[in-house]
Amino acid sequence: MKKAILISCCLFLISILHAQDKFFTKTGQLHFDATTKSSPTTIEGKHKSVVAVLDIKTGNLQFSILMKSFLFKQALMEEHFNENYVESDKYPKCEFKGLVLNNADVNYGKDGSYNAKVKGTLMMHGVTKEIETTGKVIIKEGKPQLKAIFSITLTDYNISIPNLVSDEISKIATIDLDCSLEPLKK
Amino acid sequence: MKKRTLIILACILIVIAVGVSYGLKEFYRKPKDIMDTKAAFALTTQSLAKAFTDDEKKAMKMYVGKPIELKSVVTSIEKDDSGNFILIFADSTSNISIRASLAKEDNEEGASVKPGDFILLKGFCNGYNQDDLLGSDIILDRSAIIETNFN
Repeated sequence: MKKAILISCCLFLISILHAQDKFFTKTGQLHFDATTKSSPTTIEGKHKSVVAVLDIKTGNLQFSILMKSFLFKQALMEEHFNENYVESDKYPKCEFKGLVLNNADVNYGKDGSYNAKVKGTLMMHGVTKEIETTGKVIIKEGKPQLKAIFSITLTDYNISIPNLVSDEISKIATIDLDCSLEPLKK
Repeated sequence: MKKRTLIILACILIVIAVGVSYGLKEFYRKPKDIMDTKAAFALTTQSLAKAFTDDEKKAMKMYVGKPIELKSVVTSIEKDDSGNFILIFADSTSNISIRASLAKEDNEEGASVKPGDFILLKGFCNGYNQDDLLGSDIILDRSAIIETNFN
């Protein structure tokens, strides 16, 4: 009887540890900025429902972003973004699938800030492209927070800026990502 | 002749002023407030989730980008990193939930909502995240509560 209880406890503990290999969020934040010196106003959008999953055991990392959920201060900018640039009806999602290359350098069991190198494929506007960037994995109370600032060239994803506004919208957008993850209990 | 020239000049100036005024108004126009927008569909969690379970492509075409009125029981409430409330309506017959994030102007009302409350709200349906691991979600953005625990 004692043996059975001990085995059950071990299996329970193993299942908890296994479950906590994966961390996720559905409320990650992303900010993009394509402002130039000639822009009449800041060309920026905010996203507050980025879906992210990180497997801390393997370093596998995934992000999913619904394009229509970008929030803009001005309606005209939001309409142009969805209709003319990212064509969100045709391409509703942007997805990243990749890996934390130096996952072994991140001590997920110890609070602290760790530099991370990330490589993977970014799929946006019907184009899939390999990207590599750096960021931070911040461990606080056993939970990872992912932070990264990187740039993407819009023409790489077949997003073209009309000549008329080419001075007012940057061809390179700066992306600022911030995702606080929670353990995935399944 | 002088009078005629003046009238023409005045007309040109009026046209320019109207054009500039319209341009500025259009440039600084705020995104639509859901409360000023007529809902294209009135649905429940079950009916909306069923539409996506039955035919995702058809449901995407029909609902995404549209203002939707939802009448359902709140399953849980989350708060994002910016302090915005997200009301979650889980469908008991599938792994689909509706996640309605409240608009900035209507966010305060989220503080009084409890799981189990019967809510009538409006929001812009902005997409569907199909995910077997995390559970699938239909996203309503810029939502606003119309009524709570009504008969």
